[in-house]
Amino acid sequence: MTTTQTQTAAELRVEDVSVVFSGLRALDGVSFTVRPGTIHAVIGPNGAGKTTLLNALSGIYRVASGRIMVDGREVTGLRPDRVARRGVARTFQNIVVSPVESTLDNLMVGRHRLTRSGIAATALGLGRGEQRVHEARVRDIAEFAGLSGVLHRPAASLAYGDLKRLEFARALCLEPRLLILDEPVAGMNTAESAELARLVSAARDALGLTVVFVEHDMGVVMSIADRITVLDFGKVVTDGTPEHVRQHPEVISAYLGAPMESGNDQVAERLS
Amino acid sequence: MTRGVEILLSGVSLGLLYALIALGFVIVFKATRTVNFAHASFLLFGVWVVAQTSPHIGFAAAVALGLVAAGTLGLAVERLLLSRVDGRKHDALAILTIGVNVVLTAELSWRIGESVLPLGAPWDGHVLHFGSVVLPLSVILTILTVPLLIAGLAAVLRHTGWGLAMRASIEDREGAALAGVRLKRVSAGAWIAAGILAVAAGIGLASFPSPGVAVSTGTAAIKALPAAIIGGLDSLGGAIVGGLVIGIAEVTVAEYQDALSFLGRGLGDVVAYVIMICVLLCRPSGLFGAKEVSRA
Amino acid sequence: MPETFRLPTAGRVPALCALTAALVVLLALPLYVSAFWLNMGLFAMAAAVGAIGLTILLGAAGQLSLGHAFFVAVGAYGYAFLAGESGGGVSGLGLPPLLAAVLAVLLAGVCGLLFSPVSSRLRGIYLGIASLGLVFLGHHLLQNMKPVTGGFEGRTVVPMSIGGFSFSDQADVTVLGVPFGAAESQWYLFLVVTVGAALLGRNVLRGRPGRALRLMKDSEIGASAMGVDIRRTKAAVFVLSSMYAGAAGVLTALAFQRTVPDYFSLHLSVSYLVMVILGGLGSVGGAIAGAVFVVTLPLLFSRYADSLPFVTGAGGQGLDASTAAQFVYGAVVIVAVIVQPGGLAALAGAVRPLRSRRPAAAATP
Repeated sequence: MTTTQTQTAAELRVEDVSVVFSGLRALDGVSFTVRPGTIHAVIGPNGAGKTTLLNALSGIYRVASGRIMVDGREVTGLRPDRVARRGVARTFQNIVVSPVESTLDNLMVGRHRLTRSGIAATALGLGRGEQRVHEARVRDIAEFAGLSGVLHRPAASLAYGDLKRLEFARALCLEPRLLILDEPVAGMNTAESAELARLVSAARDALGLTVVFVEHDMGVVMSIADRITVLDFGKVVTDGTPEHVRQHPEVISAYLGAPMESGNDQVAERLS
Repeated sequence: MTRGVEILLSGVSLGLLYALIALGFVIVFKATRTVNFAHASFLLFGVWVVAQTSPHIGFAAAVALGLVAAGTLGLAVERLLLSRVDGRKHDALAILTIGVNVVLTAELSWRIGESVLPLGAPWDGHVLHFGSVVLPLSVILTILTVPLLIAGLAAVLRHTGWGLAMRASIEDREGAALAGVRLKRVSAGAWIAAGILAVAAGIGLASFPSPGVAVSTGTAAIKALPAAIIGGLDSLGGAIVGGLVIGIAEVTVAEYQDALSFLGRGLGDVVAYVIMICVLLCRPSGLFGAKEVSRA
Repeated sequence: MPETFRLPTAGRVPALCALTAALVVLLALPLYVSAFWLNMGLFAMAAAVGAIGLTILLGAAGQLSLGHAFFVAVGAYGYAFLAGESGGGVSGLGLPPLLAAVLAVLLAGVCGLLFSPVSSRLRGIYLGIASLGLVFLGHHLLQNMKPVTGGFEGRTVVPMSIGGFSFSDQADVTVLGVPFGAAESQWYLFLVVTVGAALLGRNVLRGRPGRALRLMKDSEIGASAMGVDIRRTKAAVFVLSSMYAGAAGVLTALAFQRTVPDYFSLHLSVSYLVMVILGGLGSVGGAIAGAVFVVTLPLLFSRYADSLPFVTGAGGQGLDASTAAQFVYGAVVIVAVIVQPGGLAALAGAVRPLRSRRPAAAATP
């Protein structure tokens, strides 16, 4: 898959972000930076605020305080579609596709922000040329993601693994500079997970993307992440390289809920 | 002053009737997440049964029969038709009620035609005098009995097994089912309750302002829908507030019809919708409806 | 229409032949059939145009609107007023009918735009009941704006004329020995409009807007994350649907040669809803089929009342034609929801060659 446009991977800066729901601090003063072109994982126990963070980044949740900057430009408080127009694409944990539409049509929705034909133009048949150009690119992306065989099948008939890849490929269709993935390999077996992890890494290399993803699968996290942010109770526990995080006592206790004791090398093993 | 009191009480009375109808609609919505487009025709069916039978078996028995008929109709629609559709497909269920409404409306319009059937109620034509204030007996009765009915409903919800099951399944349908709540009983109960409330209100509607059961009684009942929306479909209390707002507004506007004649004749009928649209502009979920957590 | 509603390649050639044959028949019809059938066809085509707009709004975008009758009224009365002459208690601008028709459609669109701040912020049944308010408000206005609408008696409608040719019984035209009156000449006019409306609708549904609408229907958040401006898209599709309704109004006015307020009621909105439900939500072909069914059934019942056991003429012992028709489509809607929620369109799609239905497992790489 080749790049068709010169896109510079974006830098993401999260500065002291808090998100509050009816008095509950789901995120509390979260800060971290993702350098352009890197793959950044966000991990933590259930309820740590990981999905809340992703929703705040994509504009779905209102941020109570703090700032989110993409390439130095503030995106805090923007509506999700405005955030998307800044080159931020995302996938959803529980797969949001149109079940009756074909894989191809679902992918083509990803081109929405890059195409212009409105209702009037499309009604008069003026959008066809644009559609052809973008469809070619979408087919490329589909092939990269291994979806060429199911392009014309309704999404509802796809196997789960294909659906997860459809979510991922559709996000790529936005030609994003920042890609946000919410549990991209949830529910997949080892082989499928490894394959998708490889795709994420390959996409980053080929397209020059910055990737932020939430995952529970430590194997995937450790294999492709350049840096990891660990959350617990809405706060950042630590932030650093996979090696650093693996050894960090607070991370281990956050996952196990118990203070660190000597001889917990097996526990450290579990995190690798 | 006298006239002011009369208008206020008439408005409250009408508002309480709309509140009853809206309550029935909201109960079904909250319990089953189904929008019942046929609600107004259930009402018309029930009061039509009352009007048809009261010359033969007396008013009280006719009312009982009407309540049973409407409750049974609601139950029948729920058990025979709605239950055949996956309960999660809310749109399909709503469309199903549209179909039921088309059939019911056709049947009732054909049978009633242009006639206005007398209810045979003992309060027909009676008025009460309180000093210089003159009010139809039905208005007074409505103001006295409807709050009792609503209190009764609240008591049922709070103190009976069914009421508890209902409240539980409104909160969390799956959780309630897991805890042993029989959802079928809850939804059947909701539909029966809606039918009963509708007929009770219908009897009031067919007494005042225009006595008798006609096709227009059903059309008047449709005004309870904006009442439910104004209150917010998630709120039983909201349905009551919405009903009162619409009832008082309608009677007031009808009273000052002449002064407002530049806005056209028959304003009382549309004021409900005007208020609804104004409320929705400020509060898209109604006054007491659940607001969205996320914004998109 | 989504890809899955298109016929597979093997089925396309026969389908195209069938469509061409149908078109030829339609073009030749006025030469052979009586005015009764032609008029029925006119009403069906007017309804079809409105139904296409509603199926886009409801089927693709998932916006439940019960206000369709209001926008149909705007189109009908807009045309009647703009093209009409003043006199006899009503006023009119006397514009050339073609211009009046276009302006009436645009007026319906403007009304849709004015209502869109409300429609874009509401979802589901809230939108349904709010749009219901439009119908009642509209009815109120129609009854009361006597100079424009003629009050509850309604007003007559100027026949369409293009370039001096009048689509009425006044035109002195004979084609192949058949005198061309209002019904015959309007048949072709309506055919052009209906086919045009269908093509426009199909383009919208198959292209970028259609895809955005369908994702928006399934998940507003998902669509928003793809860059779709939800509020603007909702407003745009509402305006589009209103314009379709306006066009249907113009055609209805021309077909009836009169407009009366009582016609534009909740009952009309529900009829349109039934049309798109029966036809299958989101399908242009389905909308047309549904419209034909809903419009022609009561007329057929009335015409053949003598042969049908349950139908009598008005005033007889049995059901009158329109009530009987109501029973039928109420029942069909109920059965359709329980048995085949996809409507006629899904039924048509179900008749695909077996070889296109491969088991899911075979396709995974």
